[in-house]
Amino acid sequence: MFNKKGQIRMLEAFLAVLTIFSASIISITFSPPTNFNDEKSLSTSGMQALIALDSDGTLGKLIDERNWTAIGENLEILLPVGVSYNVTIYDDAMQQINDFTVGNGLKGQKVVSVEYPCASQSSGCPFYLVRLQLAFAG
Amino acid sequence: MNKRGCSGQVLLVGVLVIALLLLSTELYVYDLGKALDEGNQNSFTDFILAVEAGSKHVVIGSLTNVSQGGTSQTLGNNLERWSSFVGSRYQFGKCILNFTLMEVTPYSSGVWIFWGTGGLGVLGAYANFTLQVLDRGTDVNLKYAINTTTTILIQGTYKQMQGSSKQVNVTCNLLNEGKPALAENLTLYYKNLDDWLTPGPQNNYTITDYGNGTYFISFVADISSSTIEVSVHASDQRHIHVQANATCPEI
Repeated sequence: MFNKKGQIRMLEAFLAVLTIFSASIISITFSPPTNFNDEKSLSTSGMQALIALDSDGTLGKLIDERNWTAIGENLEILLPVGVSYNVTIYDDAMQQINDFTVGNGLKGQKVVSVEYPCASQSSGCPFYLVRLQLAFAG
Repeated sequence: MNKRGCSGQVLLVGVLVIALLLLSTELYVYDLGKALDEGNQNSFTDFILAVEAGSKHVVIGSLTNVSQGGTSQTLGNNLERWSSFVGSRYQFGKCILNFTLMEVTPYSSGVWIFWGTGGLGVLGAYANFTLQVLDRGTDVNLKYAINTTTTILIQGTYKQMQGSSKQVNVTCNLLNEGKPALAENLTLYYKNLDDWLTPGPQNNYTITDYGNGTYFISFVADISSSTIEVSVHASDQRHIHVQANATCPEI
């Protein structure tokens, strides 16, 4: 009698453990990626920085002036802390026009690249393609 | 005894409730995470913003060109180039940018130029755009319009001084899209006989910038005519040039 009761208790306990365990397994399986240090958040940060810089035509103006230092300084402010970057600017014929590296030295294992089409407000209306490479430093 | 017999069932029900709680919490977190993930996946939304901003810059640049003597076809040509440029630059799918230039009066080829003699000068551009972005499993159609206008309003009066000497006061208002805007430079001319002259320091020329797009200009000049015509040429901070002429009545 006691033995049978004991077996049923064991069976119940086993079922309980199985239920909790399977619930945990399902939870872990369906967990979304919550790591923000991924490629998507990096590329979003990069695009947002470029959009902010271009909203009033500043980006196109600085490229027209070949003011690479100012572009770098602006991006330093607009990008999140801990992000290293590198900028390459091409004209509409896809010829690189920045004659030296704009950036703070690309450091990190994962590097993402975003491309931003930019038009200048100057009367010649030149177009540029800004390629921004980003990585989480350290 | 009865209590003891039920304890196993209570345990199982309790376990089921805990499992359900775990699953529902995870489902909630999963839904939130999915929304966040979708937000990240929408790389095309950033691209759309870039194209829209670029379209505006192209319209402004074309207007600058037209204001400096370029043809009104400049706007159409530049937008054509821009459409082709962005169409070839989208990395994750297809991007088609179409535009139509406003052809309703007073616009012609999307450009409105009015440098009037009644104190009003306008230079504007209007274009409608349709943007289609085809991403992986996504088809976005967006319509937007860009209307860029630089307006100058001038009005002046003069006071007769000794002889043919006259003191002329002119108030100028510069507007971008109907809102006060600062001038990059502003030059006043007055007509004496058939010549347009610029007042200098010898004319007690003063210009007061009120910092809100309003400029007050005053000068004294020997003008033989009893009607004084002035012309103000201005460029806004986007380098769009506008001008307007006005006749100043005596006060």
